[in-house]
Amino acid sequence: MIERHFPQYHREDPLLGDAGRRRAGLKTSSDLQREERSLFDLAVTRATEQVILSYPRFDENGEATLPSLFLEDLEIAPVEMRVRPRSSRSAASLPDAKITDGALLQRIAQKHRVLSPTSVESFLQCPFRFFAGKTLRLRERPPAPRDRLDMLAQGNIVHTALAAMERMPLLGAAAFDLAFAEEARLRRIPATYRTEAVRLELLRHFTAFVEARRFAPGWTARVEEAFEVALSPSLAIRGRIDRLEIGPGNQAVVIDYKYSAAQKIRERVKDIEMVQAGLYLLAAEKQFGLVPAGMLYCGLKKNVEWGGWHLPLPAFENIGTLCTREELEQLTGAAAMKAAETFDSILSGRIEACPRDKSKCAWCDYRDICRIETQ
Amino acid sequence: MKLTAAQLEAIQRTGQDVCVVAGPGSGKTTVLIERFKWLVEKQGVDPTRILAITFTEKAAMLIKQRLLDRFANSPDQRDAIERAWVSTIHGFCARLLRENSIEAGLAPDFTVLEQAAADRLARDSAEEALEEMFRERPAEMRRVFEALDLSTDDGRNPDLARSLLVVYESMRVEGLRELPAVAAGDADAWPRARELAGIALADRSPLGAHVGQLREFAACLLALPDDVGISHFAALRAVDTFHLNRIGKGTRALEAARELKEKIVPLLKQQWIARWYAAESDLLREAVARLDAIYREKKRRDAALDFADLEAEAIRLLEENAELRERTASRFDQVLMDELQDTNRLQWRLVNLIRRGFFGVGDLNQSIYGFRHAEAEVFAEYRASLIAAGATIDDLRENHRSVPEVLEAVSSVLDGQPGIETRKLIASRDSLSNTGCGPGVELLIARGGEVDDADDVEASLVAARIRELSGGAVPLKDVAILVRTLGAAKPFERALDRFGIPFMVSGGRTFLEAREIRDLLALMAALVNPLDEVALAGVLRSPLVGMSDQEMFRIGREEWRAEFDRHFGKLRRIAGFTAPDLLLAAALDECGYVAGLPDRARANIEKLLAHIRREHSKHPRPLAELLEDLEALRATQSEAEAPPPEAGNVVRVMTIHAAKGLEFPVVFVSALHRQTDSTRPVIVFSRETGVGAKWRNPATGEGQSDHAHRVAVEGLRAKEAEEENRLLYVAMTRAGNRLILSYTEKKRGSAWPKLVSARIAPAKIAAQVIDWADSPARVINVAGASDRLLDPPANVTRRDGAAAVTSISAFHACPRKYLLSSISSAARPAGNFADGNFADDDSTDGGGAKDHAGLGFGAAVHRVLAGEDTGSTAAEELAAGFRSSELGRRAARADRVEREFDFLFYIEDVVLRGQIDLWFEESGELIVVDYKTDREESSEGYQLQLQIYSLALERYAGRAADRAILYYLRSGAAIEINIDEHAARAAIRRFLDAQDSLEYPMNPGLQCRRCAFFGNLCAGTGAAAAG
Repeated sequence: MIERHFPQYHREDPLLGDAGRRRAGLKTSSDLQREERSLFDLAVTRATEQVILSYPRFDENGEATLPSLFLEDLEIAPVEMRVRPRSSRSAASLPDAKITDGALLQRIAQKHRVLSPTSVESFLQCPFRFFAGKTLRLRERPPAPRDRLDMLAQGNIVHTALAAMERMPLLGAAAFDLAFAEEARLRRIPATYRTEAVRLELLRHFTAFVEARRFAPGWTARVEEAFEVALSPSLAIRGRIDRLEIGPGNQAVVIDYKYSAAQKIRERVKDIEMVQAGLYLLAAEKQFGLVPAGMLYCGLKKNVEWGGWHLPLPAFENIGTLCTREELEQLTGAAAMKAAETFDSILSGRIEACPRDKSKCAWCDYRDICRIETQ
Repeated sequence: MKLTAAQLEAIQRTGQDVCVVAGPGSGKTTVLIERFKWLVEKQGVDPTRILAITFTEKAAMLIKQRLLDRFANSPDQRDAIERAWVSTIHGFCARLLRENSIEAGLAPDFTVLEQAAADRLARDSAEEALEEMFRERPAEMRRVFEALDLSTDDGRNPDLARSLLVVYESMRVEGLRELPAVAAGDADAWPRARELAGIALADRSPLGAHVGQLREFAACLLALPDDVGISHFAALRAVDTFHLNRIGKGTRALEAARELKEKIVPLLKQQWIARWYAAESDLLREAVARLDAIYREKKRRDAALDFADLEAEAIRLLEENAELRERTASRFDQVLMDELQDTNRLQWRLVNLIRRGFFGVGDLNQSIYGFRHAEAEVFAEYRASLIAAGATIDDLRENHRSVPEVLEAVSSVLDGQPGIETRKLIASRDSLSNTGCGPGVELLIARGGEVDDADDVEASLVAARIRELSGGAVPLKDVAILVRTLGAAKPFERALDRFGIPFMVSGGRTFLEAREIRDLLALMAALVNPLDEVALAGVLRSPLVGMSDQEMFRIGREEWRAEFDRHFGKLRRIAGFTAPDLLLAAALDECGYVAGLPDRARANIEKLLAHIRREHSKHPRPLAELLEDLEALRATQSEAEAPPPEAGNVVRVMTIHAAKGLEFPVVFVSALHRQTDSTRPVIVFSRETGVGAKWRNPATGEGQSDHAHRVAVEGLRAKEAEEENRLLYVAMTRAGNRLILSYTEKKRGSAWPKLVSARIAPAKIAAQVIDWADSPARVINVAGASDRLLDPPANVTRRDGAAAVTSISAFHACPRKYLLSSISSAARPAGNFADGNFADDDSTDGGGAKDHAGLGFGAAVHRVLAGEDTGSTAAEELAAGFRSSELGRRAARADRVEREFDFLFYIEDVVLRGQIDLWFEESGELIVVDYKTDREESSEGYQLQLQIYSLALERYAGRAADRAILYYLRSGAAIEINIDEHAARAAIRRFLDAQDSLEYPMNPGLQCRRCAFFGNLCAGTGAAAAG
């Protein structure tokens, strides 16, 4: 019994008004109005013991309804009832997030025998993130054309361009154009104005870096060096070093470029849970037979920002912080140990969503499905 | 509530326009409603002769509702109120334009774009405009990209497209159709600069360490050519090489240096940057002009208007058409308007065109919509004009909401602040202080080390206080926490959770982050695209399916999809044409997802469903697009104005803007230290100076404002400071019994903590997070009555007992198209709808439609052939062509002939109705004919129709038709159709079955190109395009 349904509204006919209708012996709108009332009386008086009148609080569009005028006249206190359809099956309770099955554990061990520093850091950040990305390898839907030139692609371009410039110094700034064109081709990035605006910004940052960089005179560089170092018979670390600066006495400083803003570099250097630096130093020593002398991160976005640690070397004054050989060894040792622990933890079947640093969840591809509420 | 004398005076004021200055809690809405009621009851004004304009649709509904309640006993009045003009200004414009669409030159069925849809369309237009310009003039556009320091990622920071849209919006609010050329600023500073440089050089007297640098700088300036080049900007850098206190005192050189440094050089920078980037500035203006053109074209194509168009078109209509203006104005004896302080100039211009008697209510101190271009000055000017005319202003100062302590606090904190008009509010309530409730106003301050810690300390202080209060019998629903932005609400949510205090966050996007909402959005995403494995995994591991991660790993990706299909395959099949909220509700009901959820999660789900329902009914769109919009909503900071749904006994958390017009016995105004994002726009537009920008200095790479930018940004800053004060005013005046202010002692730029702490002594200062166990009282949350479970309704047949033959043939041609056109009349794209209507089978007019607008040309030809006169010569010609054909001649000499023959017959469990164009019996042959005015290519769809006609004819003519002929009037081709009873019956059965199974598959093919739903509502875009 909702307003406008019962009683129905009868407006005066716009063509033949009530006066005319009355003269013609036709029903007027007030006649019709009265009829609604008697219809209601008729319905109510059919009952011998009890009458129950009902109306829905919301209509099919979810809008609140108005009870019928007839109900208002009766002044009955309504009894409100919330109803809901009975479900055909009950909602599942969520099982524990852990791999316990022996055969599956074995598959995991097999799968992750070789880990990259990024994978280790991913697990340390959140076991579920690692599980979704590296174990299940969930594929996202491919990005729309306008989203293809994302941060990852931009980082790739800068890395490629820097490596190309190092390998072929004659290329100069053309290295950037080549790298950009290649990435655009691979990812099928459309040549829109937006792409162009991003390209110009990248180029500006790239050029600013190239102009400002001062590498140690007399040192030689190796770029984009792949490595694979065994930590134990069952675990190896695989990765790629952006740049190795090699100086007198086979001393080596590892340089890692990041296309990110200064703030990120500072955070990374402060974070003691990060293993990348230590593992790179380990690789420099074990794979390339060099003497680790420092690890530097270089942020390229907007302003050039250096961060990291190195021995007192005249070639690297004013960037990063000074440290001793023991401290570098500590860094390496700690990273190796963390990597080994991580591996054990992966093997134990740990997969629960448990972010170490919640502020990083904003960049996680799986933040919408891990079912923990951050922010 | 009894009306006060002041209220009554305002309500009953006659003989002048009325201006009611209504302070907070003075019964603003009541006064407006009572005025309406008084006009109707006591002045005998017909309710339809009153125009009431409200600020929000909610207010309009509320007023209508209250009026209906008042006039419950007089059906005639109720009826008139139903039809009365009570709406927002946009609602009024839409109604006015619709009623006068011919005069306005608009399609009568124009649609009004919702804000989100309009934003998307505008955004697309801006992208297209920039794209076009980049294609045409890449080199010049590159210079624009380089010249402005705008974000290039498509995220939260404004990029070029977004910045231009902001400029575009400000331009339209000013009532302009294009951007004016940049106004000349101050006089050219260059001659004076040269003069001063000359003075500095000429003065040989001064001593000082920096005299040399000054001379060098001056010489450098004098050497510059007149045409601005990079060297100019490089030269100005040297102004920092000398300090004024290092130049001999009392010398002319020092005076010159001072003027140069403090006045002339900043001016030169602005003027030179404007000159250097003059071409780029022109390009920005051109980009806005283009985006305007593209946006207009898009709207024209869809016969759509956005909110700004409604205002602009209504003004244009009334200004250009004096007769209509007169008629409209004379239609209303009185115009009532609330929240007058939130009106913009354009809206006021509109109101001025139609107001005879005017009754405006407002409060300057509560103007908080400046960011939406509201101009409080409009109200101030209206009031001033009345005062100047010697009229009386109704000043409602009596506050019925707050205890005196609260009002005193408001006045001591805010009186005399910029933007606040000092008006003494008079409390009509008594103080509660002698009832043991403690002081009415408290200040809580959190001290902490790290930023976030301090926020959590503050939140825990607030939560602990709520706990205490609720122990003292304050119901939780009486408590509200107001924050500046919802971003600041998070620590409070955490603290309330920790304390076990139920709450609800009103409005905003935070609910989109909730776990249960993510589950549902993952379900939508997986329905849209099963290859989105992240969404798929999200659904599987949520309680919707409840699969363990271990199991997921075991079965592998192929099985994920199969498992999803087992649970939701049915939904996916109907997803293309079922309202999305129903889709989600079905999924939820099926697995009883909601049953195990806490109240807040349920509320979130209800909110999502309501949101989707609202969105879908305003603007139906494919699921994928809806999902995109939801994600966009999540990404933007803008808060949806969701009115708080009925939430039971819970604490409300909301923004101050959302709280406007509401009141709560206990109000916390919290996180006072948080300021809104105050990044200044890189490109701005202001009425006074035109378009300005902050450009990249070519010599230093740093940002440099031109004159227009600097002036506009300074104006913005001053306005914002005033509005901030008013915002605090609104927040504090929401409180009834108790006002509790809180902040964190940490500099975040907001002026509020200082303002508040100067006047109110802190009640409590804490340095660490309070544990809930330490707080004295308990919160008892009375759980709401549990739901009564009903068995879902049995699958009753939805078959109609009757159907039109054209429906069956339409279904046969493409079940999806039939469905879309039959169930979603609201969803029809406006315009271009030549062949969506199956009721008239000949409305598919193809080429002819253009020259014969209006009623279907096909219908006209049919009428001519049935012997009527239509006056259409083209129709006559086609009809004559048929009459002279062999078929036509046979019909003319037939023994029995029926034209436009209506029939009704029962077959396969359904009553079919239809109309046969022509049947006749001649030389013993029974022939059924259907004429077509469209092209031959579409013959396939009509075969079934003719087959059913011949079945029908069997009942009427006593025997089956011998031949069935499809006659194409344009080409004169007569196509003989096989009469196949089985095929016809099978098609009817399929039609009926579909109504049970609800399966309406697509039939993609060439015909899709002519389909109104193609690429629109039909999900089969891809397949159809290929076909």
